[in-house]
Amino acid sequence: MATQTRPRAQRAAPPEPPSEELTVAECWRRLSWHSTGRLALATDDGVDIFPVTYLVHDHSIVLRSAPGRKMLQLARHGDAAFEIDGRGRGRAWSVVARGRAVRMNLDSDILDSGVRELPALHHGEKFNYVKLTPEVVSGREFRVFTGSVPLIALAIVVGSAALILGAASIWLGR
Amino acid sequence: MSEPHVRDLSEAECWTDLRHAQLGRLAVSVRNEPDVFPINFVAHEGALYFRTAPGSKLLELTVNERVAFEIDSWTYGEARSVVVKGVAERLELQSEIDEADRLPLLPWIPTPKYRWVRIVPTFVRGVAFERAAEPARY
Repeated sequence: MATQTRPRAQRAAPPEPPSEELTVAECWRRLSWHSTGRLALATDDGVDIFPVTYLVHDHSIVLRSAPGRKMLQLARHGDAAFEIDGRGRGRAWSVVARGRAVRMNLDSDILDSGVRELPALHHGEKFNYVKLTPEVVSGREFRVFTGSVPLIALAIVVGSAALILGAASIWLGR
Repeated sequence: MSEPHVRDLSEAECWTDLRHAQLGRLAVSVRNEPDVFPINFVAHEGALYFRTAPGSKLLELTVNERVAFEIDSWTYGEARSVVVKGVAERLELQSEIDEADRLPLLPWIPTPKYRWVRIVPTFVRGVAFERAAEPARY
């Protein structure tokens, strides 16, 4: 498939999307506001992604994960990407932190991080604590297309109906 | 200790959630370095479709066609997450592109985008967590 990628017809290059890059400080601010995100890990057959709860401690992202596959993958490939996003007031944004994720083994580290205070996704036992120390943190904010097309269509339909009714009443009133 | 209130979603429930969602996160991995991109998508006939401009996302998809995709939703009482793992492929046939152009996709950004990508799932899993406080440990 990859060899058949020649574009069929050259189209104009797309204009830059109306987005702005967030500063690193702003990315960290948003990271510290939130408590749920997604962790992506490389696996033997590609990549996997998991919803997690987390907190920010000492410029690291500390998260809890249930025992199992996630940990096995971390043992094999330490590289991870962590993402949070949000939207509101006509804007959407996303922050991604990439770096190495390691399992926290020392009880003192776990206690210091405050991760035990993290609200859990569920009441399952979770004995694994993971610390992601980002090498790269980046974020973007977009103006969002809010889907006003149906409203515009409705306005056109209502407007046309009013015009037709108006014309008809003038015609009938003659 | 009480049983964890975690429930696996059936495949049908996963697809219902996928059909009702607009925003998901696409994870790709190039040379074992994962990255995540938020995207708007649409689920259609057992596959996921999204559009992208030629750029890093598409490049990475070309390098490594195996991807993972996640949606989640949070309410006061429950958190749900669906993960799809699969193969990403660019739509090349004009008939497929025309069909995709008719899908009700609402892009994140109003900018026209020029490439359709389809994720053909090889694996779908979903889970619902009842949200509650963590039991004591230590």
